[in-house]
Amino acid sequence: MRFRAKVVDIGCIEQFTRVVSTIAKMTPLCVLRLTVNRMYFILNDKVAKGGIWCELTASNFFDEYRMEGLSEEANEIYLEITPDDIVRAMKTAQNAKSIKVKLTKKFSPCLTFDIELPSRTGHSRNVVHDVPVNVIPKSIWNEYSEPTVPDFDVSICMPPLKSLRNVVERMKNLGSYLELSANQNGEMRLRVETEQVTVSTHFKDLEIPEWVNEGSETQTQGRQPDEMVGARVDIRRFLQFLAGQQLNPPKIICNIVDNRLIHFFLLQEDISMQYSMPIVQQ
Amino acid sequence: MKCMIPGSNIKVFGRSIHCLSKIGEDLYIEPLDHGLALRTVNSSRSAYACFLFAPSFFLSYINGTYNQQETNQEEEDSFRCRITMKSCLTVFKSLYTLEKTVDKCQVYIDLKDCRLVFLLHCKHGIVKTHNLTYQETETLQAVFSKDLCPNHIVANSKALIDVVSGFQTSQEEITLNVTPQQVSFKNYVEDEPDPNKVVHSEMFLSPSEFDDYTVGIDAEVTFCLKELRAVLSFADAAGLPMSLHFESTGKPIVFAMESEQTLEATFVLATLADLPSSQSSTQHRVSAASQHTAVNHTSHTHSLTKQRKQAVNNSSSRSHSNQADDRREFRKTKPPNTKRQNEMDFPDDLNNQRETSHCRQPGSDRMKDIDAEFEHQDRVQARGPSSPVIPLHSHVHRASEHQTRPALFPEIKAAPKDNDRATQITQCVQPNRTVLARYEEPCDEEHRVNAKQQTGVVAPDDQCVDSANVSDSEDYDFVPGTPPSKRVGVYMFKSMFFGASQQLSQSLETAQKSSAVFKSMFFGASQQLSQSLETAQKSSAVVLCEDTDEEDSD
Repeated sequence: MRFRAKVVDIGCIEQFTRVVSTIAKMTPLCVLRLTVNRMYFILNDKVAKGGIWCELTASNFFDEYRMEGLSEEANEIYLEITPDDIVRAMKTAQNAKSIKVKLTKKFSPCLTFDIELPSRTGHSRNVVHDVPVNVIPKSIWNEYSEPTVPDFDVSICMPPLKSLRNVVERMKNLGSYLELSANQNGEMRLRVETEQVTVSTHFKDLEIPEWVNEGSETQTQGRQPDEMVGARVDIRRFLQFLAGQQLNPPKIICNIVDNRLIHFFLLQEDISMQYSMPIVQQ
Repeated sequence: MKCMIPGSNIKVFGRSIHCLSKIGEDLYIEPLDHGLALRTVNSSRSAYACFLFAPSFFLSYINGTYNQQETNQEEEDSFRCRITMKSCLTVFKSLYTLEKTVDKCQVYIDLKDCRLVFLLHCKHGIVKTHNLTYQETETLQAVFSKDLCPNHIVANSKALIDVVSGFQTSQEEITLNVTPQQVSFKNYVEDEPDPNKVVHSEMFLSPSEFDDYTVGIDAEVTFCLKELRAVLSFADAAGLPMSLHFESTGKPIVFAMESEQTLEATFVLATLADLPSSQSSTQHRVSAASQHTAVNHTSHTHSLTKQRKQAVNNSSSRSHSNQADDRREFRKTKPPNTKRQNEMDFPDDLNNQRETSHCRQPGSDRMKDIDAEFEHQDRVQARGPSSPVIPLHSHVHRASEHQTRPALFPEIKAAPKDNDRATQITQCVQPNRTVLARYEEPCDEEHRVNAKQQTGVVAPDDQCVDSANVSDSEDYDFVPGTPPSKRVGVYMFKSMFFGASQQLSQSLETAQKSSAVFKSMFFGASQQLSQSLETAQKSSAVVLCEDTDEEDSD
């Protein structure tokens, strides 16, 4: 197994840092999957933490990207990483001239970030971070396969995250669960319910994305457009997701399967990220 | 003591207080002839900081008696006090406001009410007065010598801040590794529960980034980051270059900065000595700075002296003697005022410099001085094989002053001006106690116990008398410029031991001459030697990160 990548462009460094810190905000531990031309951050825990599937095209970030997988047939590498460690390593690279990332074997398997920094005197400085990782054996690779997208009852674009966050932050003080529901008329409702009070916030005129996928079309068409479909989530987890967002994608699509699934789809030119939030049954 | 800080300097003064407050909890104030010294030491005594503001820093600076009615003049001359950092911080809380509003600040001691007074003369005729309670205290002094260190680096504080900011705020220690070709800073991970599970970070710098770079021996020193951050925050604000002096694992690292004749700041940080056996998560840290132990190895003295001399001649000051395992260990969190602590081996550099009135002696001259001293010691020792006479540099005083015998203790005891002093004096009589009790009084109980336990190794009295006699016939005047009359007294030992603040001995003009001084002196000296060997005992550098980078295709 070999892996080596190099970034020179400061914009790419920043963007990569944002991706990793977004992931780090959602989970303390995830899997980094490296293929010949792509990089994936994967979390596969549908019950407790939810699932993350984040896909980067290597050539969009790295000026140099070489990897040799386990074998010819299984030309991939799966590593268990602590995204927070990578974020910390990347934080020292905010004005870096270049970053080399490579898979090394030091005190343990490591992702080594070799950062070249400019210095006042014109001499380059080097910072080396050895981030310990765990290599995941091939036998359990299939646990980290891409989640199948189910047929959604409702698919809707989220309102601006900032305003959503303001609302949820206040709702957090009322209760610990939040019901997120939406319909095909472009309405979304956040509701927190306690014994004393029920507070709900309505968003109107939200965009409904066009899905080419036939399956979901039929599903949504089977319902009344103004029928609210929703599920209950842990309010803190939802807030964590909202607050941790650093990518600011132009569109975040929220897909809901009634009482079963809430799935967010973040789409940007070079990144796609899916996050399915664990549902709390009533 | 009475001084006036001009408005333009109040911010710097305030900053120094802020810096000290990040290190220790008590502020030790000592007015000296050559300036006002502010000192502190952290709770684990692994870091010591000293700011010295020269008289030119102040609008006016009067050290000594200003209150003429006070009868007990020498007491006031030797005034040293300790205030809590918190109380002092309230005076200098907002540097911005201070700078904007304060025209000048007067600091003086109100002996009548026992208050340290900060009088802030603000704009529009507003005067803010802070009356702070204080405790009288002994001089706080770490024993170190930066000029003997083979490694000397002068760095721009900005460069060091870049380095330090690269580490996480939760990082406790960092390791500095120098070779003539390269400098590296890395995070110290050995005390983590599982060092293999944490990120290892290392920053490499080229020596050309530093203003001065003299590396005599390759060294790897590990020290606390928190204190370094405090130091750097001051250095950055003051825009002063910082010089680092250090030697090897387990020896203290000294950070010093100086601003033309007005301000000198010195920070001594203990470095970690890794024991080969400490593979477990329990780390024994050997503090080198400001840790002192009462150990008397009189019988070893002669050989130790020789070793020491050789070491000095080698100009590396490293002794490879593997003395019986006297290594003092302590956990960092543990209050270190036990006898199981380490001792610095160097005479105090700071105060020696003072006595030569700010003249910085070139390193080579100092070496010569010390050599001369050691030769001298050998001569003295030739008179009696077990004679514990090892006058060290600052510890040597004119022997002819000490003609009386130790029978004077009762009189000494009669002299104290308060209970506090009384305790200290009784401790002086017993050298071990003195050494141990240099610091705060609350620890006295412990010290006494320690002293008792150690009586077995204390040199018998008759030996001391012998040595006193020997001393009488020798001329020990290695300390230039100190009037003989000011060198007598039971306090001298303490002052000598901590690096002989002149003030201290001045205060004791009336104190009885006593050969007990010698006893303690010798004791102190021999102790220093033995300690030098202890601290010099090798400590293995742990290889944190070995690059077995087979996967790397480069």
